[in-house]
Amino acid sequence: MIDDEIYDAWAPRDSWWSPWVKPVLFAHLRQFAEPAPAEDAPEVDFSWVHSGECVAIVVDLPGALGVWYGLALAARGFRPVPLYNAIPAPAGEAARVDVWPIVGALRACAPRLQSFVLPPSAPPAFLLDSNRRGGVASLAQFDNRSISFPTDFPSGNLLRSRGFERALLVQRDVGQPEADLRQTLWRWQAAGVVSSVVAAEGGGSQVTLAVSKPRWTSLALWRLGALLGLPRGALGGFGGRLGGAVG
Amino acid sequence: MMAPLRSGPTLAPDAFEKIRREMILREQKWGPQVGDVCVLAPFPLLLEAGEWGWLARSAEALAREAACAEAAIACSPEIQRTLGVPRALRRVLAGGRPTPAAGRILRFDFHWTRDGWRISEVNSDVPGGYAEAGTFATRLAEHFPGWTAAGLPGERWAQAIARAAHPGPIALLAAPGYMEDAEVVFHLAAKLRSLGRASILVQPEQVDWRAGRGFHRGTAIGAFLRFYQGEWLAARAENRPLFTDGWTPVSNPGVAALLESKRFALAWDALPPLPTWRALLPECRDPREVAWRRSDEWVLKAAYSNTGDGVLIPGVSSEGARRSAAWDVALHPRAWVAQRRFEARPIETPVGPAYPCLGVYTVDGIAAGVYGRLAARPLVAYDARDVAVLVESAGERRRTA
Repeated sequence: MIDDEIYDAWAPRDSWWSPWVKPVLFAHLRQFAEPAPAEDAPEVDFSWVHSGECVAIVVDLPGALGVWYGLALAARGFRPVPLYNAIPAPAGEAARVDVWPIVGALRACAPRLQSFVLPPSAPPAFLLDSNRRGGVASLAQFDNRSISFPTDFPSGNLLRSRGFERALLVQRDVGQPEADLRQTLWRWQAAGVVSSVVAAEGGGSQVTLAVSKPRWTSLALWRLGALLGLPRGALGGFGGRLGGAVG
Repeated sequence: MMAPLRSGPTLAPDAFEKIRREMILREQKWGPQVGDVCVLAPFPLLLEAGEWGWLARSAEALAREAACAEAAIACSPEIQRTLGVPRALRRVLAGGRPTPAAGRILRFDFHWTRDGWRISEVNSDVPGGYAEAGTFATRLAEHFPGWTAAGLPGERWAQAIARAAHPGPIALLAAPGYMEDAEVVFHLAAKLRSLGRASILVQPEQVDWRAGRGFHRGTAIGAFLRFYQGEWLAARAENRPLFTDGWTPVSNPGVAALLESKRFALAWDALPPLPTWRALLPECRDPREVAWRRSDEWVLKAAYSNTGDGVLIPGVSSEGARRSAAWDVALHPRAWVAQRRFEARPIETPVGPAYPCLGVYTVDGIAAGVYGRLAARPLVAYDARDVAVLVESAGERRRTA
């Protein structure tokens, strides 16, 4: 597949959710022509997933695992929506968050994804990298940490207008969502979209999430973090280099 | 008063999708969707040639006057304090010879108001919007015979830098964590590459300064393309050569951060004449001198703010935001300015009434293009749409004359 076809596979013209697909990794496909590591859809109990169910899924798993998980959900009628928003490090350079495996998985999964016949209204499965804020700083590294913002997703009102009143968060365990994602889930909840959480490999028991309104302190700290540590201004996303050739 | 610009029709979905795809996959427009809104408008704004000529001449006059004012401000710590220039910035600008500029780009934001065109500010330090003003407008223009993009500001800026640069790669300075800034520097890197100039993205900490010359991993840097807010760089004293006493040219030069102050107008009486500014910028006052809290006549602005985040407009901004600003004004009055509110006029567009803002660029004093934005409310903030501004081409003007 050529690069544009890979983008088409993940963001088909007719899907309701394609406008939200983050393009930055697809813009770097040509710099990563290597085949993805031999990996396949995770062996997971997907008994909690029902085809055609009106639930918006948010997959928050590390690295390429989320992509493979998204592909498995596509086989069950969901439309995976990559929201990876970090710039890959240039070839040969180390990154704070290594997103090249995600790029490789997007490439590797595209043909199979394209073979699924999903309707435009197929429920979304938004894919995030749970490593997005992590990593250990080093001056020689490409700093591409990122934060997920509510504006990276459709609003709760839009979800409800399309018949989605439930959201399901898939993460490593059934604990609380990451602080940045919490902002989105709280806004969804305020709009009437109720969230549950399920462990990615935990046998499928769902736990309802009561996302409390972020306390002013945590909201202020989150904003402060966004403004001082990992800030974003107008249109959103993250990545900056600590040394290396661009052009 | 009739609006001198109008919206064109919406492009066919296939045609627009092709442009959108080019922007996101090949032109570094990596944030095309904000919440439920596609920020790329599928229709252009059309501006008659005469009107563009007036805007271009006005921007050039503003740039000329600003250059004289900036030189005077750079020499006067007292005026800098009046403008609310942060202490760290004043420190790196004090007492030295200005580091040479490798080209200078400014963007003046024009708004259509009840009284004609008015400017709200100049983006003097790190103006953005090059892919939108250049490629996006050019691609839209291909569907509107007789209309053309007003210019290619990114190309013009890259050319100016390439001309002024010494041998060696161009160092791109951008703060990690800002995707929209990364978009800009990657876009400009591509423009520099097309001119045969290599570039490297560096962090200030990685620059090795030797007698005012910048080196990166032992290689002499040809010039700096700075897309990193001046006041942030100034916080680190080692960055002083980007402002003063440097040998490697910088664009925009560090001194550009001075005019970023929204309190600029408060120093006019102490500066060389600024007739175009006086005609186009609404009256500005120290917030302590006017009853901005009880009046809808005044807009409160942070002296140093970006993307509309420090702008409080009566009836638009929340009461909570105005209340917390009142505290900050009391504590730090020189960090704010009150600007007389102008009555922005919406224009009809295919998505309903919208408020246009035309950011007119000048590169080394010459008009270089327009970054168009449309806002649903009279405040251009992060959720404004990018819109291509097309200008009547010369041939079309002759036919309609």
